[in-house]
Amino acid sequence: MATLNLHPIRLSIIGTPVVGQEVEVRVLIGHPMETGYRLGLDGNERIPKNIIESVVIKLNQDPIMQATLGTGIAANPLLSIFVKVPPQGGVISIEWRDDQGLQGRAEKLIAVA
Amino acid sequence: MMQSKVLKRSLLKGFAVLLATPYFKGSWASSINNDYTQKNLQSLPIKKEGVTIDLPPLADTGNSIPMNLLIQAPAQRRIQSFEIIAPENPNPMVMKITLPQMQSSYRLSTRIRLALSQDVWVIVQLDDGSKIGQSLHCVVTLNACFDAT
Amino acid sequence: MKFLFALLLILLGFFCDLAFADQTRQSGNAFLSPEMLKQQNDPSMNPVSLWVDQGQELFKANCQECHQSVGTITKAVVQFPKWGEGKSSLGQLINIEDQIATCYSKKTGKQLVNDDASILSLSIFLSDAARGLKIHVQEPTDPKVKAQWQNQMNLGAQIYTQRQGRLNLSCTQCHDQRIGKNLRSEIISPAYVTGFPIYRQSWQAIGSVDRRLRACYSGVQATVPASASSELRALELFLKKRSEGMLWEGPSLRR
Repeated sequence: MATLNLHPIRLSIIGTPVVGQEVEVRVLIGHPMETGYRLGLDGNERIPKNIIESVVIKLNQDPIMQATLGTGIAANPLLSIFVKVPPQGGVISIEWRDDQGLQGRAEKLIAVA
Repeated sequence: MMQSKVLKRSLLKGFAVLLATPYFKGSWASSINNDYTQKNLQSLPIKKEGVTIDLPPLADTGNSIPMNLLIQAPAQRRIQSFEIIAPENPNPMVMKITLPQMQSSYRLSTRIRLALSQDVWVIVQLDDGSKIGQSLHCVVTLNACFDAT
Repeated sequence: MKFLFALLLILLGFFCDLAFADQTRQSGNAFLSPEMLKQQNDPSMNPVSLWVDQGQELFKANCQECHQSVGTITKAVVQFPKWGEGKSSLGQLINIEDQIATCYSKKTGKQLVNDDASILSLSIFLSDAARGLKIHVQEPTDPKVKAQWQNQMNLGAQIYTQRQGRLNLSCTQCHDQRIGKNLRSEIISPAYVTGFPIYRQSWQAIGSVDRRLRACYSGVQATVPASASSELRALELFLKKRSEGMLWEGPSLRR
C-alpha cells in the first residue's frame, strides 16, 4: 500500500543534451515553504515556519551549485539552471534540506547519444 | 604625558565610532538581513552592468512570481556568488547562490514571493571582490477577494 | 406585426446563441496571463505535476487491482456529481472526491476527508487522464431518484441567482453579467467547471471544486458552508450542468 510522499520531487532535463553545450536542468520540489507569518484557519495562531534552507546540485558527484533559500521563495519551489554537458554525459543530482531536518534528493542521467 | 594619553583616548573613541557606523557594516555586505534596506542597497558600491533581471512589471500574485536571471561577468572576471534581495520583504534575503566552480556567465530561473510592490535586487560577488548588480521594480496587488478557506 | 417580428428576432437570437454556445463559452484558461499559461502548459514547471505523479503512485498501489487502468474510469470525472448508490452515500448527491474517498476507504480501511492530500492526488491524476472528454451530466434513470435529483438541480440554480453575504452579490452578477471586467487586477471569468482540482497560488496548495466554492462564499462575505454540505453539492451539480458539452481540461493552475 503506497503512502503519500510528503515531499514529491520532479527533476527534468529540458531538450536534448549535446556534449560541450549547455542543457537546462529544472527541479520542482513539493514543499509548502511555510513562512511562519501566515495565520491558521482560526485566525489566531501562526502556522509554524517550515522552509527548505539549502539546495545542492551536483554533476557526477561534484557540487556545481549551492543555494541558501529564504522565505521569499515561492511554495513548491522551482529552480532551473543551465549545465554544460560533459563528454560521456553524466548524472545530475539534487539534494535539499529544510529547517525541520527533513531531506530529499533526486538524480537523473544526462544521456548523450 | 597627559596630552598623549588624551590623544590615545580620543583615537580609541574615534575607532569605536567608526566600527559602529552603518557605512562600515554595509561595505562588508554581510548577509545580516537588517542591512538589506532599499536605501542601503542604493548606496552600495555596485556596478550596474552585466545583470539582466526578467520579472513581470505587474505580478499576478505576490505568492509566486516567475523570475529569470542572466548574469554576464565582465571580461576576465568570474562569478563567485550572487544574492536575490527583496528589501521590503520581512526577510529580504530571498536566495543566495554560491558557485563552487566559478563561471563567467550564469542563468537561473525560479519563483519568488513579494510581500508588496518593491525593487527586486540581484547583487553578484565577483572573484576580485567587486560587485555587479541590478534592480527591477515589480508591482504586487492584493487579491481581489478575501478567502477564509 | 411589429411585435411578432420583434418576437421572432428574439427567438432567433436565443437559438443562435444556443447553437454557437460551445464556441462562445470560455474556460478559465482564456483568462490566465501569458506567464501563468506558460507555467500551466509546461509539466516540468507546473506544480500540479507533483500531484499527478503522487496520484499515479497511489493509483498503482491501491486502485489498479479493481480498475485495471485509469482510462476505464475517466468518464466519471465528466459525469459527477451523481446520486449516491452506495451504503454511505444513499439518498444524496456525491462528487468525484466523495466517490474516491469511499473507494479508498473500501480498499484501505481508512476513512479520509475529501481535502486529504491522498484523495486530492488521486482526483488530480484522474482529472489529468480525462483531458479532452466532454462534460456530460446525466439524469438518473430511476424515476423516484430523478425527482430528488431535479430538486437539487433547482436548488443549485437558486443559489446561483440569489444575492448573498455582506457584499450582497449573486454568482450570476459577476459570472454572467460582468465577464471580462476587472476585480482589482483579476479578470472575471464565466466560471465553468472544466478543470478541477486546481493549484491555486493564493492557497499555495491544491483544492477541489468544494474548496473553491467555499472560497467564493468567503469572497462575498457570506457564511461559508461546511465542506461536503448538500448546499455545495447542489451548486456543483448546477455548475457542472451549466458547463455541459465543454471539453475537460484537466487539473489547472489558477491565481
